[in-house]
Amino acid sequence: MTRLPPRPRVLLADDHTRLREALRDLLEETGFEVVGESGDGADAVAMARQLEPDIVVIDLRMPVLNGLDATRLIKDGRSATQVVVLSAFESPELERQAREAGAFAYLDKGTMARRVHRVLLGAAVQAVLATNLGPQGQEPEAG
Amino acid sequence: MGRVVEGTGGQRSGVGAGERETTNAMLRSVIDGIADLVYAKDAEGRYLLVNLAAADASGLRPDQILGHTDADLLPGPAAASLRAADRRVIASGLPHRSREEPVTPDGPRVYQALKAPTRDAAGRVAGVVGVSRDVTEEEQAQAARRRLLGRVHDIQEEERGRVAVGLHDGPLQGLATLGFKLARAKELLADGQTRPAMAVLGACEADVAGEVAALRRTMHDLRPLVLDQQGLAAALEDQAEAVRARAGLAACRLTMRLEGGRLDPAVEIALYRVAQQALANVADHAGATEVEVRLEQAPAGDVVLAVADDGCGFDPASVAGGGGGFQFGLTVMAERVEALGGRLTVRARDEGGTVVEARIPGPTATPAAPEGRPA
Repeated sequence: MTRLPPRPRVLLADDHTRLREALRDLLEETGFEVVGESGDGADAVAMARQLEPDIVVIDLRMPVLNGLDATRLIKDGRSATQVVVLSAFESPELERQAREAGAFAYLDKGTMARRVHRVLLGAAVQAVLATNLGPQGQEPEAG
Repeated sequence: MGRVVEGTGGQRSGVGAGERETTNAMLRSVIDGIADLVYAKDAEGRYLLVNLAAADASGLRPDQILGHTDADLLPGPAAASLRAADRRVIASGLPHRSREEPVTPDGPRVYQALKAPTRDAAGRVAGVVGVSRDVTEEEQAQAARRRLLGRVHDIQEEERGRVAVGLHDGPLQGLATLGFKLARAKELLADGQTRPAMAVLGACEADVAGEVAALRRTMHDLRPLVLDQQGLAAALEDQAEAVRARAGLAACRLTMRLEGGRLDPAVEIALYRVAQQALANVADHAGATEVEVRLEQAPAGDVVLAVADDGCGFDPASVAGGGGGFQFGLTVMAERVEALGGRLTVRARDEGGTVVEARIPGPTATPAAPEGRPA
């Protein structure tokens, strides 16, 4: 897998702790820096404002605040931060809503790790572009 | 009893008066033996004939009815409705079916009435003859069946929802986690870091075992295979042990006396669900230290399942209707038992705690199974 220097900064938001830890270990192993972890949507929004990560990987079904609402608030707070939704639900409608909320990409939890990694690299590039040039839109349908 | 209108057939064939009387008596017996309401009225609505069932339904003697109209006997709106139905038959000269809802001495009733015109010797419509069937209980039973069916569907959907959430939070997350760990192990191996990779793979192996155990629990909650294969007694033993471990109970005693052999499968699953729900209530609400599960059936006698705990008892108000999930669980239990003609009771024990008892009428034993718990 391609390594992107310097290490893109990632915030992980998922109330399933074991999954979050496994994803953290994988991302750390493959060139990302996990700067924070959160188990609920409201906490994720607060951490995103504080840490200003390049990428937030967020689950949809979370306590306190769901992933869609959290995505809107994160994008409202800092549009350069790219939100990648990682959901258990494979649903075109949820994907449409996530993109409307400002998500860079929508991935289901059955997605191969290789593709998750590729999408996060794309999100990292987009975050750099958005930081330097302003928002340039969202990821085209990632295949 | 009313007069039976003399048949014209007898007159035409020249049958004698004595024979006609015999025929009338026979017809009267037949008509009085009919459970439906049978009656005849003239064109003005005066009763010419009523059978015993019709008289009983009105709460009057036949002689109080004959010669009178519905307007003499019933409240205005009810009489008008019956008269309108009669007039329709008289005007059309054709039979007519109608639904009638009179208020009788026993309260409101529902009848399905079939009325037909009677004719004189010249073929002119002379009145109405009718048969009305009391369908009150039948309609109430149909309404109850519809309500029950709706409730079954609701319960089914709630159950499916719980299973979906369980699969979402359990195996799905577990497998996604496993995928990330395996990907990491691959990365480590690609970097030549064999030892850390082996550690990750070891964790994956443990995760798989954990997920298999979780799936097995889900499957067991859906339908314990042991119930089908080994019967209710064995399934209850497993269930009791699981609850004892989950709720940290000092003891969960089982007393099984099934003298009639394996129970009917419908009874086994119903009683298993009752025990499952009752034990879940004990674990979640009772704060008990000990539980006793008793399953008994004398040969050809009632099957009795009782779950007794020594916990904090229950609030009768919650059983009466305000108890949320606890109440819902009791209602579902009661419906399952009642569907098999049985009865569920919940009572407080004198020494503290609660007894949930399901009693299902026997005989429900299937002759094929030789004993309560085949090996």
